[in-house]
Amino acid sequence: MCTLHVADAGYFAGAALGPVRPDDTAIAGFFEDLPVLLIVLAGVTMLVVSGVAASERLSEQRVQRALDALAARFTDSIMLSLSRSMTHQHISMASIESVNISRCAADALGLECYHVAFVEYFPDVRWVRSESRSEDTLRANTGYAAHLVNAVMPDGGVGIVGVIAIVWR
Amino acid sequence: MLDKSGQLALMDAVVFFLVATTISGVVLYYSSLDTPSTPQDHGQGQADPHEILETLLRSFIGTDIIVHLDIPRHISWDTDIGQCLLLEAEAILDGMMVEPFRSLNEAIRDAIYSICSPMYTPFLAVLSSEDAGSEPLISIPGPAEESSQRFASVMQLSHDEEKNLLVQLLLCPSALAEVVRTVMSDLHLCASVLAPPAEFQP
Repeated sequence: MCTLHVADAGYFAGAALGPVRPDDTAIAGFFEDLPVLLIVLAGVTMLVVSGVAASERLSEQRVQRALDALAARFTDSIMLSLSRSMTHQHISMASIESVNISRCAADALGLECYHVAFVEYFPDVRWVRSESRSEDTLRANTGYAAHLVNAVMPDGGVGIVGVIAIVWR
Repeated sequence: MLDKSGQLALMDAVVFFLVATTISGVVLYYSSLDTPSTPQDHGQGQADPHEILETLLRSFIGTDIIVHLDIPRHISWDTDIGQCLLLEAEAILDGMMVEPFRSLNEAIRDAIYSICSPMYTPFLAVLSSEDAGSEPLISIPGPAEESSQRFASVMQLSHDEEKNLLVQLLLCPSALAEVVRTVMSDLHLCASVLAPPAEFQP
């Protein structure tokens, strides 16, 4: 049986790679490497955490923009519906009170929840009408859009009415 | 005590940590530049100056006003605000003072304030394009204040080529906007700490 001693192994390695010297200048031990390891780990963790936070924030902004665009499309649909019922130069309050919001929502939105309100700003400030479809609680991300429109008041004067829509999933 | 190689390794690690900190800061800064809309930003939909100016000029003044010029002039409640401004600007161009139009300007100011979000302070001015750079003919409620962020819209008031009058609306963020922004950022911070981030209970 052939046995190879450590001295023999060193001899063969030395023959191939040159003489083997004792590793005196290397970093000694695990505990001496620990501060280096901890600093590197902290840096890597910081990179990972900031990357995840940034991607989540960007994703949230994308959702927000999509909801804002939906809300704008919804108010545009309402304005288009109101302009179809325009008799003279301006929209009448009667058409604002009778516009079919559900149909506008069906045209512009999918299954999103919404709340739409019409508020008279001038000459008086008063709540004209509101309608909503909410199957869930209000979420952190809500799309918003608003328009101002001239409307003929019941007394014949031309006032200003705001159309405000909030959309969420 | 670390030897020379150990000190070099430690220094490399510190340099790596500083680079990682810088990169994280830059990433977080750029991702927060386009911040998601918050309730105070929701006023911006109502702060479209062009929409406000257009609806304002088409709206009726809503109240009967008598302007004491050489002869008392009655302005009916169903006169457009655009027509009222044109009448006043033409009178001032003809050498009249602003004083007789005080009640008219107050009515117009009330109309602007009622349709403009309280987050913004509106300034309406009528300018003559012939006198570029000079003082506006009409300033409601007064000269516009200096602000780092302003929204503006300009429309032509008259189609008369001899008297080319422009009406300008400036919206400057009000003091209330700053207060609300501070409160909302604090509330947002509290909500993100105390509640699950995905849900928001109104």
